[in-house]
Amino acid sequence: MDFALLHDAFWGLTFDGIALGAIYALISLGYTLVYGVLRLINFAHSEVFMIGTFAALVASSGLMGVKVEDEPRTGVSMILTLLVCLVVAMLASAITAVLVEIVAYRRLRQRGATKLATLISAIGVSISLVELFRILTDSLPREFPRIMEKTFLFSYAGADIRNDKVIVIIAAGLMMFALERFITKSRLGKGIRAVSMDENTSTLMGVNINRVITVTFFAGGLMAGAAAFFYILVYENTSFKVGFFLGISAFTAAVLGGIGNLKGALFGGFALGLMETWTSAVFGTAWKAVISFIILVLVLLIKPTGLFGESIQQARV
Amino acid sequence: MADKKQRINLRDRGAEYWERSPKWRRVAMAIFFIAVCYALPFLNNPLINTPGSDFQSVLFYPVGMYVLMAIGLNIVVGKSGLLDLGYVAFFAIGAYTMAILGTKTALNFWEIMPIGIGLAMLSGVLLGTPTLRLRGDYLAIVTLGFGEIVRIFAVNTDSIGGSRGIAGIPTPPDIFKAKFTILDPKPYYWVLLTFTLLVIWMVRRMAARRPGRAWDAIRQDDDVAQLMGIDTRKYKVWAFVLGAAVAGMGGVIYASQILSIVPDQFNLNISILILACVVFGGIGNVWGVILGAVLLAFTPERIRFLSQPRILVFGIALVVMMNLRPDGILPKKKREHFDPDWHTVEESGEGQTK
Amino acid sequence: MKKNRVLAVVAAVAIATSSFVAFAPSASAACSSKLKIAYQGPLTGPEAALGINELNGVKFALKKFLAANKSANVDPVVYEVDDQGDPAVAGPIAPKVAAEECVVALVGPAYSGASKVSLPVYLSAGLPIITPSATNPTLPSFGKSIFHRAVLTDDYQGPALARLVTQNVKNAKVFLVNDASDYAVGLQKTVDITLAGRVVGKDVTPTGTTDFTATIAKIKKSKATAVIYSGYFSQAAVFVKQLRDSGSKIVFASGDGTLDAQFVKLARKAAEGVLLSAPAIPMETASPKLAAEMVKAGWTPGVYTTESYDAANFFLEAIKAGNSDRASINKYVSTQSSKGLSKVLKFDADGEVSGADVNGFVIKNGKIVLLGAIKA
Repeated sequence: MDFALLHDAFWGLTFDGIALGAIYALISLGYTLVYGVLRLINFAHSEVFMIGTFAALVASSGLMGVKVEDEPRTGVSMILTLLVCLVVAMLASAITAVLVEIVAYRRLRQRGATKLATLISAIGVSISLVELFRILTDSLPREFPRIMEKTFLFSYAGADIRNDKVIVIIAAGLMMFALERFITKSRLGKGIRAVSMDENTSTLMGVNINRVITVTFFAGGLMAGAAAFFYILVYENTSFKVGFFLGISAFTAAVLGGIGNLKGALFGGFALGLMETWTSAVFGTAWKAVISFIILVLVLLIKPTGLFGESIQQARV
Repeated sequence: MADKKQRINLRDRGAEYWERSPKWRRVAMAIFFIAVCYALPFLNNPLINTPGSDFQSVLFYPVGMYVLMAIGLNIVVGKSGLLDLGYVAFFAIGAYTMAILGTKTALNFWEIMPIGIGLAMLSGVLLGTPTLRLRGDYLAIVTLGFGEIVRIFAVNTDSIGGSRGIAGIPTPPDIFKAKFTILDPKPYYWVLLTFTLLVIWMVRRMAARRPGRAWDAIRQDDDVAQLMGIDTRKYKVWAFVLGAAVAGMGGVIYASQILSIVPDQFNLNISILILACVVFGGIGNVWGVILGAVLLAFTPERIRFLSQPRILVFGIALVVMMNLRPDGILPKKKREHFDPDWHTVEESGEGQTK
Repeated sequence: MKKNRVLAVVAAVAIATSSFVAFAPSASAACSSKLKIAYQGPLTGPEAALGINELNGVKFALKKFLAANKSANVDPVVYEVDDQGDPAVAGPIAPKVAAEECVVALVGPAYSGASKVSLPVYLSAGLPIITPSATNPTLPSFGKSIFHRAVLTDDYQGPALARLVTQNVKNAKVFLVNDASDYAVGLQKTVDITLAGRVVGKDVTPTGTTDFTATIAKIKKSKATAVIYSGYFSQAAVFVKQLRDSGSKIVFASGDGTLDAQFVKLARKAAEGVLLSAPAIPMETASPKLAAEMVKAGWTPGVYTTESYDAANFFLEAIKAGNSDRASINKYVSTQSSKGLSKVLKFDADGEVSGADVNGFVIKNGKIVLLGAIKA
């Protein structure tokens, strides 16, 4: 146990933890949104993320013609390339999410199937997507070209602040803000909140359930796609397995914060990012998943619905 | 609410037939069925054969093993409604017990079996007691975490082999003339089958008595059950512990056959697959669960000739099956309760479940 | 109505009974067609690149042999066994292979984990094997008389890797990282012992780790001048990229798990200057002529191709000398020697080779360049 390391490298670790947490937060938003309206763990969300990373990859090479060996771009070309990849990733993930809803959930939902049956259907979709991409990529990881040169902007108390991570944190924050505005202010957003509070009454009040659910999946997918782009920007690499590892972490984060609760997902994401980074420093990277789960269990024991969750009946979306 | 079509419900038909049969017929059917199960390793039918892997090995693992574990998980998920996503952990504990005690002490398989089961049950109590008051999905994530924790712990702890696992696990001692060797899975299969039949018998007995009724009540509505005076906590832990015992049993048998184990074998995928067996077959219903386990374990081996898209086909099959038969292949006919967490509203207003 | 039902039952019983065939004893009957050479390794899945490289070596050896010995009773098609490098997959497959009477020799298994599970089965069936790449030192105890290995074990590679670093970095202060896999833990153990007082820190990053922030922070704090990573290429690439992106320029070294063209592709600029060790020799170095011939035949040599080529050839020589069943082929390879491209294959009582080197490599300008044998 190396607390000295945590002390010495604290700000550096914290900064990196926040950047990682931003990515987790965006993915957990997807889990939490779907849970809010459907009371369902969307097992296939991790693959929505994974597909986003590959979409960004295809966008960079196919649409923008970036080759892996290329030098990083600068100026307008760089910004344009990054934006295109981001948008493509977001759209690809969002469309995938909606397709997943239609294929795996809609029919079961309309027939009143048990949650477990829907869970298995979701798992089936997840397995299929992972295998599909495994076959497509020949089981090999893929690298993402360096579009933006990674430079250190400045140093603060021993922490080297890198430009790509700063972008991720700021951009993620903007996305979350935009989502929150959408949920609270727009009509569709209000529909989502209504459905998550009481589905039957919402229908009686004239809310179009199917549309609300589709929009929910779409929004969650957009966030996951953004997370996918940020992930691939920072780590520059992806594989068919990438959804699984990040999915479990993001899902843990959503539960930690209180699943069904937007604020909870945000907080959970950042908290988990920080926790994982700090505990890796103290206990070694090998134990980080264990520590995270133990913390989760402890939190749930004290507050059975997560940190911000009120009760299961009341989802605060 | 009536089903749109009169679907032939095999399970209920079968149950009716059983009820109506006089005792001698029941005994005859039971003996016939059991005899067929024991004779399975000798089956040599091109429809059933598994190209690419040894049929008898496959019969033992994954088919036989998944059946046993599915029956165990069924007690937890199917009968009691507790969503357990970390079931593989108990399997691992059983396997590791066999591995460690088998290689470090002079105990043999039969002596280690009760210890393995005991340790699995103990972990069931340790995990269950604090967490079973969590609801549905929270329980799911916690159990998932437990499953992963056990695996990661095993990977990181060198004294129990670390990532290399443990090798050189001894085979069970010979029974009469039957030798347990790695080349011949048959004796292992028969031992597994015997244990499985014992478990089925035990579960049916419990299901018919108070525990079974308590589990039913808990599954349908936890709060109401508590109000009716059922000690839900006790029965939930019971269910959990029994499920763990069954998995532990399977783990001990598995380790003694495969002779070396690595922690990464006991991963989340197996927990998910066993859960799929339970749901796929028809929750709560032993025969459905067995059928589900047989199908889900057997099919990937049977379609090995597809090699590359094998698992992809499997995943698609899962989705298709669940959409066509959401209650499982052999469901109970009556749809027994309305799940308040799961609203369904048809756009056209028909088929409302309330 | 009742009659139909009775008929149905009778038909079902008839079909069922006919499905049961008396179990024939599995004693290996003589092979009635051509003799087969088998190859076992990952042919699908994430490790498939290595398996395919080795399989091509076997195919090439077979092709050349049959071209020179047209009348030989050997099947021109290699019997492929795909274990995906996974012991759980290898387990049920092995008995099937063992039961194949015409398979008289097996090159492989490629991975140590799969070997552990397969070897006891092959031992019971008397099937001789020569593995071109499974480097775990405990394998002879699993395979006993049928086990042979065409490469040096990790007991040799570890110290060589350590020496590679100390020879290239003055007064090296080394940080050790492994991915918790069986292979990596074993390799790092011997590296650790050889480096003795030079190790300034360690960390474990299990497979699937995407974020190495904490590890890199540890490395920086320890002021290490070199890091040795034991593991496989995909994670090594992620690690070295993050290391370089954090501003660290210290030497990065790794073992044969990282020696793969994919590593260079994934890590790009970060791969520059990476030191690698492997008990394998690229075919282009061992025999440029044969390498060119192999490319012309349609296969590109990769890592361990040379070793699997040598293994296959040894078996083929045994067959040429008149041996046509498992026992005699096993005796031949256990006692005779074969002049291979990578080394002279002469197995000792444990099935191990001697007199071979561990080679050092460096990545220069995006290419893997052989430095030569790592000196003691």
